[in-house]
Amino acid sequence: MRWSAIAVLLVLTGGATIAAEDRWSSAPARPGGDVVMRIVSVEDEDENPLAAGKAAAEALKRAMGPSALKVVLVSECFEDRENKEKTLKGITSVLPETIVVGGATYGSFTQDGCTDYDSVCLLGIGGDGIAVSAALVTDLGTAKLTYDGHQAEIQELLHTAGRKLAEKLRRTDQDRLLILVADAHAPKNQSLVEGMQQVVGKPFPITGGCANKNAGQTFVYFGGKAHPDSAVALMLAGDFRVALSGRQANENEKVIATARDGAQEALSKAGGKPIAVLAFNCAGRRSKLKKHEDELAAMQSALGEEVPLFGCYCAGEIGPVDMAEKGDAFSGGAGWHVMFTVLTK
Amino acid sequence: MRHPPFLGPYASRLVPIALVLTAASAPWAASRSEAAEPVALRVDSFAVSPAHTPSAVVHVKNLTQACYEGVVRVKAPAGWSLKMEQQSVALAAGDTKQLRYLVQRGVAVEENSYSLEVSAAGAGATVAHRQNVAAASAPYFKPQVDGDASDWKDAIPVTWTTRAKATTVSTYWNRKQFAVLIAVAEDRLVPLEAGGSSRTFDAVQLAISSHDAPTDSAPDGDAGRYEFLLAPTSPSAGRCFLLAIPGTRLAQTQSVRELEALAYGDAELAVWRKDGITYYECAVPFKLIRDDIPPGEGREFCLSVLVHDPDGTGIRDWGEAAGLWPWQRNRLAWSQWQGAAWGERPPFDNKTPWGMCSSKY
Repeated sequence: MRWSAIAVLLVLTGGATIAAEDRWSSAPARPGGDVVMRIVSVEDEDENPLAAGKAAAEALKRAMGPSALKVVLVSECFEDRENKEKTLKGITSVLPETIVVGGATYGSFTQDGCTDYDSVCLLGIGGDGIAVSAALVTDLGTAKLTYDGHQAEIQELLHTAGRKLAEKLRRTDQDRLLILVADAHAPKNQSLVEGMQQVVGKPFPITGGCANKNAGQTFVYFGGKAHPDSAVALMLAGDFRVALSGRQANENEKVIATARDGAQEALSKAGGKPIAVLAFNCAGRRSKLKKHEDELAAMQSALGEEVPLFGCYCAGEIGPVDMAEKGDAFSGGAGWHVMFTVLTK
Repeated sequence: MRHPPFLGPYASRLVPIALVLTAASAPWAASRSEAAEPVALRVDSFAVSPAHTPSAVVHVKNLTQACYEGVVRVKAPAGWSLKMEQQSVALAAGDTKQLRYLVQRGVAVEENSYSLEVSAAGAGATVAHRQNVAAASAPYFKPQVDGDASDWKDAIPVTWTTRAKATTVSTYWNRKQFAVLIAVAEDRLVPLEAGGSSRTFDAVQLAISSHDAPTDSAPDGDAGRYEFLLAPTSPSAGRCFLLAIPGTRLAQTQSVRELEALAYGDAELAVWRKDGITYYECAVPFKLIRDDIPPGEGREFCLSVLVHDPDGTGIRDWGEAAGLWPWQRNRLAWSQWQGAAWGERPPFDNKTPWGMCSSKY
């Protein structure tokens, strides 16, 4: 392959090395290199998801400045596949489709506020100090199974899927955090996490959220495409630290208090100035709030208002479970949680 | 409830009882045996399927004239676990409180009926209460209102039986509509006659309201609810009437109104009959109710149902099946309409909790 062709390919893929359609990895992280995370969100007020996706992608590109994007994590809540695919088309009209991953959620929140229906939020991760490996598994086979009636079958299917997903990821000694977005909502998410832990080990930090499980909305995104009944994973590696916390609540005051306490705990454990904060939150928690903004305000009372914050409302959360029966693994899958990750240099 | 409910046409019948209760300084219509216990207990329906970690919401009412302090314990079905099985409660005389018990692990069953045992120990007595609780929850879905029930397999049906006849209510929500499928087992369908008639007929009456909008207790109060009547006009057709919206005076709801002026054309309704069951499939637009009840996953609101079966079981009341206390009957909670046949007692209040969830899976 001529150098010019390689250069074109790298631009088209955002610098990712494509090993197969269901996995890719970026260039390795440079020791001491920059880690850049930026978050943007756009609410569609014109019933034009294509334009909203494009506007969000352009805003992210501007926000990243000269830092090359390694991956873009999408949280969007347009209704129905047609509108979701238009949103993705808008995003990938600006950004390389290979590196666009994520899922359908129930809404997002950022350092700038909360969004509801018909919005798209993008987390851009870039810089030469961070490396990303991404993978997809499809056909999980559990979407129409209830945990009550098919527990053993769900566990077997999702343990297998979790193992497969983790095995597709490139592993390095700089691996720091695994982000999982899956159509395997609580309580099924626990089984998927267990499957991944069979490969990466129980102590490894895993966070993430489960895709919107409303009928016809249950998509995860990989390579700029929508996939039902699937899961995606991102392994972040590099010279940075992560600190995680998880809190569970389902009443207004407790949702607010746990958001503040969880954010404070992760920040305290992290030490140093945060690069960014991830918050995979429960849509059910949001529904218990008298004012959606109250929970974000509580988080920001601990984190400050300037820290880049990527938050999304999910159908199950992944991280340090806040329950008595949580087992010996660092992370698990549960519901009614907010799972924080603070990334610091 | 601090005041006796307005009893409308039933007031004269209940005056002697009301006087007795007033003499005893008791504002509720409890029987003597119930009043002998220091507290009354009941449990709300779950707002989501048990597998999705709902809260068991226990209502505790102090029936005494003194402060009550006690411990309320909930025993869940086998295989379930609660985050906390008991909680302390302190109640002033006559007060009611809600205690929430988070289900950390629950197991959904096809019958959608879960036996909970609640006990309250205090004031020198232990009060025990057993109640079958349903998950009253509407998953997200966009059904076609077309007289075909096959769209409804992903709903969470709630069934109760009145004089050996079953009523099953299934619900869905999406961003544009709130939809119900009500299956009424009945021997014979009596439709609404064309042109208006005072003859009684079969119908389903629905009340939808915000969860924090208690029924007002005076006739000049606000209806605080969206109330619909679904009436068959034949074994294969029906009409929807809008009986009340928030802002409608309760006194107006208690006047017998001709239905024609209340026809509601924005609802989609299909009625059909099969194997001794009358089906009412209806979707009402959220544009009507959105200000009070925005659609959304986890949204809690109130939905109650009265089935009118005048030539069969009479009134079938979800409020009774959902475990409301006997003194929570409230004439003001339901509109009068031409052709209605009410029972001897008023129906129960319409504030039975319901939830919008994402999916039953």
